[in-house]
Amino acid sequence: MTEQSNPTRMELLKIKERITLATKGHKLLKQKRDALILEFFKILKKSKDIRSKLNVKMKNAYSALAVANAYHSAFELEAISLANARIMDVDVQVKNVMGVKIPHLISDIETRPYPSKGYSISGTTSMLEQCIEEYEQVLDMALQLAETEIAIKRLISEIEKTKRRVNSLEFIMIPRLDEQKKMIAFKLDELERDGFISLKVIKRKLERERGLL
Amino acid sequence: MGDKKMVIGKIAVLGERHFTMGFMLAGVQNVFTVVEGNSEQKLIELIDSKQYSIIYINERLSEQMDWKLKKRISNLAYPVIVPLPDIKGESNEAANIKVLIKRALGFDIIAK
Repeated sequence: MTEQSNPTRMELLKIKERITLATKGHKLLKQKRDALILEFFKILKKSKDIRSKLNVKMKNAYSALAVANAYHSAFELEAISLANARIMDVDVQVKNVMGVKIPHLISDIETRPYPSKGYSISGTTSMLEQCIEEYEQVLDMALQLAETEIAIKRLISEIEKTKRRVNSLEFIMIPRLDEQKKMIAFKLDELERDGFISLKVIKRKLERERGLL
Repeated sequence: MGDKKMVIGKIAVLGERHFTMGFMLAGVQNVFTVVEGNSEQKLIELIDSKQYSIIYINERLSEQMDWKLKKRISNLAYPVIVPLPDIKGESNEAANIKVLIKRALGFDIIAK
């Protein structure tokens, strides 16, 4: 699909301008894509094992919970968890990488020593202790996972978008504009030649008339 | 690229009882135990309340959700919604990411 445009000098200038703009944009987008991919690999390295580690951890945690469940009644567990509940705030700092917003999560979840836990150890078993510990670790890992995974997902979608733009500029927009430019230049040349020839014809005619006189 | 915003939010856990119990024990305050069927509604509620910065959800639940909601979740900048594995300890989430990477970069870099 080539746009039909008038073969005028004005139009030619416009198209030339568009071509320079498109090439500039193409270059910039290419750089953006490369920068994004660089960032992506950085994060990927970090996150590589977190998922699989977390899966194992959660499996352990689930079984620890099952054991704790066997030693304590559901009611007891609920009471303990209410006593142990604390405020967990997460600060989300947003880092901007090439227009992609990457969250950086900071949390102050720490494993607390006994006195500050809200329940008494005399009433509970070590299984419960184990279970709580496992889950605290899970929480900690899940937070890391959340950060990296979200970053990866966002970077990936942005990379995809940028890549598409780069390609469409490179393989569709710029060639199409080039084609148009060529077309107009050709038509303009043709017009010029046409004018030139008709001038010559007129001149010859005039000379012939003069010679006859 | 120096704009750094700080948002402070809470952690929420959403899932069935066997999923949420452990998190409750670890001290998470905002735990929402749902029965099968009303998890979508609750999740939307949590997102719209804008109080939470991270929502952990049982992966099985998040997979069963309506595709519209799934799409919304994947496009969401805030809060961060993280599916965690169900009791079997397996997760498709890694595979999902693999597919995404393959689509964007053209090759599978995680596979060794």
